[in-house]
Amino acid sequence: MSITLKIRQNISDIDFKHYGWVIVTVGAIAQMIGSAIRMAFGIIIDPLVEEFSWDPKSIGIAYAIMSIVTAISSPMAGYCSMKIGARKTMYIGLVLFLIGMLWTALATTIFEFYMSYGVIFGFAQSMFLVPVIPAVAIWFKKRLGLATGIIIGMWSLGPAIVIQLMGIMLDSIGWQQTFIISGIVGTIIMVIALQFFKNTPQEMNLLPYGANKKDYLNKNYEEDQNKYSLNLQKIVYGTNAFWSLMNVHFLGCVGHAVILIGLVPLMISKGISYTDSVMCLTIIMVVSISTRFLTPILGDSINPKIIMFFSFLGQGLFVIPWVFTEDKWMFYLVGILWAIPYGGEGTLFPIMNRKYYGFFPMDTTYGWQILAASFGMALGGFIPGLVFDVTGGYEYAIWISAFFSILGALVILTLETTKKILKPSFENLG
Amino acid sequence: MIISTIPIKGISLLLFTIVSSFIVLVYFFAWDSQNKIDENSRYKTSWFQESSIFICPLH
Repeated sequence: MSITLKIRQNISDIDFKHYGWVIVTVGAIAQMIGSAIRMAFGIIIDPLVEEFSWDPKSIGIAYAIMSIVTAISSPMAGYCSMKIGARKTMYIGLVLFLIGMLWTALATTIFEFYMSYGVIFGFAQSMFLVPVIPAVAIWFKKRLGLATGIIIGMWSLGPAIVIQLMGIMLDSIGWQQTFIISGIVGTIIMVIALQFFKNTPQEMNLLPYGANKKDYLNKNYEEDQNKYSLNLQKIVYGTNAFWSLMNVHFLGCVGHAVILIGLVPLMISKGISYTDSVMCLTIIMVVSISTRFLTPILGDSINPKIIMFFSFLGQGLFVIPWVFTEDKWMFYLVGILWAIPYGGEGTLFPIMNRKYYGFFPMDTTYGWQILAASFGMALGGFIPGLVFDVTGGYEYAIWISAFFSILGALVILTLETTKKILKPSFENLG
Repeated sequence: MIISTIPIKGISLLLFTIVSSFIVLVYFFAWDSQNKIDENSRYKTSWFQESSIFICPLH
């Protein structure tokens, strides 16, 4: 059978009537609104400088506070989701989102801005985003790759759409009105979407997608979940994979954050115009959408460890030509090549969690991985500026990015095989 | 099932990464501070810059 026929057969086998896809849609909307919090920052710097005469560096501290608060509160959001459910946790995130949007719009002092954008949004982001993927994972025993691929794809596509809309609003009604209206509209959309959200398939007397009816007879999985999930989490902490996956997520995020922050200044320092440099970054974002979507699907059906290894290796090796080239087209070509592993690098963690720990609530585990990723993004975002201050160029930053990504690839090689479950999952608890 | 009480390999690799990140930061901070001192002998260093130069064996 040809590959095209296999793919067609594969797609036609999917039961899109299963309620799990509604959960995926709600998750995708949550990702879109949640990620807008982070992305909106770039467009409000100039209006804030203009209105309050705040120094851009001081405004930037709010972003750093938000990243750190999100990082530190992510395991807490995961724990919260496991204890009270993803839906209630997302409601808490939504309330914080609304307070943050309104308070940011009304802030008049830099301290208020740090509190509203830095602290409140930092908590809102983790409470809103961390529970999504683990909640989807509990709905899908099979096809988890496709389900997470759709949601992770929205990480790139969502902000691109939201940022355009907010940009248009900002020009016509000003930044304060934009924040107030976006906050209210975003909250209304999410309140409606969350009405359709259910924490587990058992709440609707359904089975997870792809689950075998026989396995669920005479077993109360919800009771098992409450009884065992926290104890199982302690066992997860005792595996090498838990620590190594956090490590890998951190290394990968440092690797690409350096590029995402430093590529445009690097190109400008080599005599390429600002517009052409931004175009290179846009190309990277567009190309990476495809691999963000496809990599979890491939990882779910082939071998996530191998795919993750090559993604990290590619992310590390493909940046090196940027050190030597001065040609715009070469930057674009390498950008396209780099975007492929970059898009796939961070998307396999839910699949790896499933392979290692089976059908098990991964909320807290995923929260810890997000903590590592957020710290990686913060460090990676900081490196290009520091390197420029010292050397007057960005070449060293590129080498640092390569070092961290390749180190990540090496750590992946030390991971256990994904062919067997490391720890007890709900299947073997009955 | 594979059960190990203390995940030595995973924790050691994570510590190695933390130390590596720390080394990169200290090296560049020390380099930056040294440049500023070399450019202006009356430059007042902060405790952070002094510490980075003290810790870094290359500066």
